[in-house]
Amino acid sequence: MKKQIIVGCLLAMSLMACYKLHFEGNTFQTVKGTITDTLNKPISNLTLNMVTTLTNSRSGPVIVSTTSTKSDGSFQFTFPRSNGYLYVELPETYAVADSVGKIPDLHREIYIDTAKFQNFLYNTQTVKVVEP
Amino acid sequence: MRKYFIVLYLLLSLSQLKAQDTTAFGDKTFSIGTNEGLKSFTGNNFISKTYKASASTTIDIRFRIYGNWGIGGGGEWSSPSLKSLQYVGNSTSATMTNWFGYLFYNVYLGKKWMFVPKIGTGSYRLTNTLEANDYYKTYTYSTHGYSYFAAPEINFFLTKHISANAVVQYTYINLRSMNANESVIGTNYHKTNQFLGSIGVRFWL
Repeated sequence: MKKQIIVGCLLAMSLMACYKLHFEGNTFQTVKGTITDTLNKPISNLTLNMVTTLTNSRSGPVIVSTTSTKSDGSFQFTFPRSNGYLYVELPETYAVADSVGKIPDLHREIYIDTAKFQNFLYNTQTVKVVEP
Repeated sequence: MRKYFIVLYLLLSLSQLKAQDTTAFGDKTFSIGTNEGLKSFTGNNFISKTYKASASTTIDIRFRIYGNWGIGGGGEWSSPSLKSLQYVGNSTSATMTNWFGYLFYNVYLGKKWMFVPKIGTGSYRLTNTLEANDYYKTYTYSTHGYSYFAAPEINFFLTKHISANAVVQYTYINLRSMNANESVIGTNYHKTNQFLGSIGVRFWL
């Protein structure tokens, strides 16, 4: 019985270790885009976090990179590739406006489709945000 | 307690060697040395733009195998602080390790001076640490590559068994299998120049 418990614990620990965020030191991804308000006015000096996390895991969320928008609202992150899913996190006072003049679901995350990186680059294009 | 006896034994052994020794300064087959120095990086590359100049520790052993020619090997360690998070994400600390081997030639300059040019190659590893507020707290990721270096060294013999030395080392670091969109990021992720100046002590046995 004692042996079975030990084997069980070892298996659980192995599974936990497998289901953990892993970062690659030889692959760096870049995400860029522009932040504007719903009237297309660029928002500058907005602090943005690039976050990676795993669902149903104790691993994450981890802030892998931080940047600020420039005067034209543009931003760019570079960070090591991971096995988690990615999103850009807005400051607490902002939320993504899914379409002009319409705010169906306030959320602070700009989701990144990891399958759509091209040459390790993903462009979110222009993201409109509002102050909720 | 045991380690004090080992140190005492080594000191006594060295003093015995000195008493019996009739060889000239630097005319030994084996030596071991340690150096402390300062290193910095140059060029348009992510290492140069990300890491500050830092202290460096080197330990190496050396065998003279044919005439004044010989081979050596050892390790070099440093933990540079970060000056920018733009190229590697939010890393909080980094360690650099270089395991190397080299070829050298002893040039005797008078009775107590010796010049030792060295060329070598090594296995380079850069490890960054990310911190998180989750269960695991920290995550690390490593970048690997090869180093190629030239390092002129000058020794001054304090005794027949101990020399003080100064080294200036240029290292070219070539990282392998790097993937990044260099044109968008505006920096190189493959090649780095490193300069290291150090002083140290070497024991000749």
